[in-house]
Amino acid sequence: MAGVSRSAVTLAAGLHGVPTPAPGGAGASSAGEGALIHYFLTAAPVRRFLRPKEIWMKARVHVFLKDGVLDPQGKAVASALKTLGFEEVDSVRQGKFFDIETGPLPAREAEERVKEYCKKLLANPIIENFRVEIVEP
Amino acid sequence: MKVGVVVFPGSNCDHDALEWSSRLLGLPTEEIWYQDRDLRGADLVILPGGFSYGDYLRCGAMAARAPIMDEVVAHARRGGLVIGICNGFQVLCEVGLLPGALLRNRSLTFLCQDVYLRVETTGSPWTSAMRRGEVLRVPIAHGDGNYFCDPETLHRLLGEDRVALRYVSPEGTLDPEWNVNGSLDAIAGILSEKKNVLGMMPHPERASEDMVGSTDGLGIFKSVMGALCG
Repeated sequence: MAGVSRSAVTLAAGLHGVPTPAPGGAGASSAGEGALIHYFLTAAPVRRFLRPKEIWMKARVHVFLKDGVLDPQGKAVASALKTLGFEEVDSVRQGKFFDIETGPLPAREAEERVKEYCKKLLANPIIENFRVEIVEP
Repeated sequence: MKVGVVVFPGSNCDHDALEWSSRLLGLPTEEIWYQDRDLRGADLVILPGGFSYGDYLRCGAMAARAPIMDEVVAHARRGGLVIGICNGFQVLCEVGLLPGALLRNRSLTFLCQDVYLRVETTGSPWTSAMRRGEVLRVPIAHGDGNYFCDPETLHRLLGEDRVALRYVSPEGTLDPEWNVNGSLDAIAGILSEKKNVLGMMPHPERASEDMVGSTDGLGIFKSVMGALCG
């Protein structure tokens, strides 16, 4: 179902009364049916028509220390790498990331919403910056 | 004067704070549950030490978003007294009542030891009964106590006389070796703009009885009692 969001599939199933094929497949005819649905859903005009107002989103948020904020953990990691013989290592800055999946969201607001997550909780603006990456859709 | 000690999941100095205020100072003291939205009439709120929410995300970050914190912030904005000790200090920074943040100790290790603190100002209800330059011996127990803020904030803190305590040598001099966690400008405790909120990493409540080796921590509470009752 590459390129088709969950909402589109649900919507299509709802519209046409076609049950989503059960995993494992119940026989040749149902597998053929699945392929047909897939062909139908991935056709460009259909996709445009089904493009949802609401989306289920997958986002990856990176949070990392601002320049100038001391990162003793990164320093320790850098020196450990050097000890292991990787003498080319100049510096290491340690950060973290969050993989987030959401329920239905108004498509246009999605990215802004994730930025709000960052400002309100995921990052501390005094010491950290963040970057939002929308993975899907 | 009524005292409230906020209890978060993972607080572990809440009973120390209760003992400090109720038994040692004889003040009516109540625990306040983090999910409540009522300070139960407390005039003074203590955010105790510990590891609220297991230090998940960042120290104090989750506790700062707990329901009770709306009330604590409102109390502080009205000029009410709030002290955050250790994890409580981290919570105060996370919720924005105090500027800056507490980073991992410079040594990367958890530090559990006595430190020496110099009283840097007497111009606050939290320090008024002490002498400027007085040296206190008080324990610390933290992994993330390395105070940090940007240069403008530091400039403002200094200009507004809001640095309450600094890590010093036993003789009271600034010495990087005695600034054990690597805090910016050896800062151990800071005050809010109106001086009604104090955040500090060391534990004055653990240094308030002869039995435990030091009573230097009592000065903080005596100051505030003087300010409220005197």
